[in-house]
Amino acid sequence: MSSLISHLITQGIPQETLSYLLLTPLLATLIAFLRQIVGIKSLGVYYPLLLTFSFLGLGIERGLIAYLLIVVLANLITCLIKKIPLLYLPRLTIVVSITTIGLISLIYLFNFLGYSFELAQALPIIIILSLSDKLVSVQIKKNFKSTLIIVLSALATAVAGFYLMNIEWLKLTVLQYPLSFLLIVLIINISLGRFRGLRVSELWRFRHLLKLPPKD
Amino acid sequence: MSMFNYLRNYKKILGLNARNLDYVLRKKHQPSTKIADNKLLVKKILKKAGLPVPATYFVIRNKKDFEKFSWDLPKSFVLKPNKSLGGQGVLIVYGKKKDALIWIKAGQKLITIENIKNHVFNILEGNFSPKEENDTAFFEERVKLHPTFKPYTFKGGIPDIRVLVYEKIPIMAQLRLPTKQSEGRSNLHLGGIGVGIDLKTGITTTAIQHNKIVENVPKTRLVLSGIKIPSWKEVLKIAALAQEAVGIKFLGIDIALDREKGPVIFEVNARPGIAIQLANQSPLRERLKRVEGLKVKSVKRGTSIAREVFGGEVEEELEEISGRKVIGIFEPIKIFTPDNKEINLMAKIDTGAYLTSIDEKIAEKAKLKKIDKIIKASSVLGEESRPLVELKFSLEGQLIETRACTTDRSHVKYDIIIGRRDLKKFLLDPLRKSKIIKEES
Repeated sequence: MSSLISHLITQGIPQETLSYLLLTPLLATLIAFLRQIVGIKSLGVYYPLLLTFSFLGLGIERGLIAYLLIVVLANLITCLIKKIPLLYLPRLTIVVSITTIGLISLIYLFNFLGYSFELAQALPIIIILSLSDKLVSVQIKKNFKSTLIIVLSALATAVAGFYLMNIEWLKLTVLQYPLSFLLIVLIINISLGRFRGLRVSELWRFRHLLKLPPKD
Repeated sequence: MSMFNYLRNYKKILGLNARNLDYVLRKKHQPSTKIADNKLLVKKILKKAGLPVPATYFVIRNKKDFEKFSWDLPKSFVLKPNKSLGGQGVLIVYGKKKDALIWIKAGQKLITIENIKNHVFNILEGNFSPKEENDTAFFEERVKLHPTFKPYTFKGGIPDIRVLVYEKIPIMAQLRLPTKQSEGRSNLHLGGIGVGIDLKTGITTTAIQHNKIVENVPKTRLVLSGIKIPSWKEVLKIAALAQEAVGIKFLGIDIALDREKGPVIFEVNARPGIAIQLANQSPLRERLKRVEGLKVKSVKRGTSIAREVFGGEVEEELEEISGRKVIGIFEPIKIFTPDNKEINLMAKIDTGAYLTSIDEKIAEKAKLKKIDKIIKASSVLGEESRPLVELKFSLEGQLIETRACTTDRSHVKYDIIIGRRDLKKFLLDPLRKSKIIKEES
């Protein structure tokens, strides 16, 4: 383990926290990679990053359930109040409020029916709830299809991120060589930032153009 | 071989990564792309340069303006947020109910004065601006639909022509048709139809909707290819002039055709979409690379380069249908001599003559094989007998083996004329100039 890291640990910072913190740039790199090389758009870096951390907090199964429930509820409510003329921010707030109430009642209902379904940690759920505001804004400004695509892309990104953050040897390596690790992340991002090639999604989009016979 | 071709095409297509790195990020000696995002500023710049823009009716900059505004709106108008991207928050209204404060949106939905006020308020709050900053709303003239596009346009919508211009040279163009789904807006990602345009002729080629090729206007049998865009040269010129005036090197310019005023610049876009490559079935990056670094002095030169270099798709299509090559009056040919040498000549195409005839000195020099046959030809000089030779030559990539008569052509400009007998594989277009002549002029 690097001397800097062992010093920090002796100062009382938990090892788990340190490795999560150091892995965050890698998680962001994964998101950048999925965007620039694969072509998955998931509302910037911030959204899938927070979603991944919520999944880490809740565990993958509960995380997925919470995310899907919240997304469905929030979009349903957006549709329901679409006709009422309201200004934008109050509209968003109303959606988030009703979604919260809806989520609590659903959890209660599940428990009442005998399924053990406690989503113990409040913070990750609150994060997912506040993220839903971003999705609702997509739905208001664009349409259902774009919303669905973004919901699924963000989900895929966060799931990939979740498994990345759970690779044990990575967690240890990052504590052993924190500086070289950050350097590598930096180099990867510089090359990602200069990548001029087509994204995987564009290979599909332009598949017919790619097969065009040469002229002359 | 096919893999090789795939890789070659891969480099020719412009993806979002390359577009952003090479054509959107700010370059030296170039104003910030932010200018293009400010619609009112762009209108001011274009107007100053003497270019046609739709008239601005009212501008509402803040809540104070909002409170003071009379809401005495005309029958038809377009309401726009000053800084939105991709057609977001643009409201197109094309009619008003009599004696009521109710208007008709493109897409045939009704909209009340309250809805309109609400929309303006949302614009001011910045709900359509990319950074959610406070924004300005403005009402402008709705362009009157040109009769050419009427059958192809969803009621109330206004089609426009997107021309991509790089340093005064138009690179690619497409006609964008609004649909019911796009609520009168012509943006492709909102469901509009993109139709590729041949830069030379202004005739439409292929069409796409949602990235897929479509043949007809949805739910009709109207074919989308073969539409001739009116005032095409004017459209190209205005697009190039607009790029020059705004000053951003690579710019998408949206031009609508007004029934009375002709071409009018709708908007400019510093981050033009890349689906235009699908509508034109032609890669963009290759075209951009071909003109990179060209110092074009005038817009006139830029548009003529565009028409000559990137145009001619319709011509190719004609060739595909007829299976014959289109040639002009003067064409370069390559003669293959019996001792395997090649001679390059400029030939005149002459449909008035049956046989091809070649200058006797050249025939001799090339050691063309004589045929034991002499034909009698009548000309202004009286009757002559001309010896025949075997001739093998290529024209526009076609190999022709024939016989030609030899005459003294030292007193005329072209050493060879090609007659009808050897033109069966070609279609003649008197306006077409061959590439060599283009370079000379």
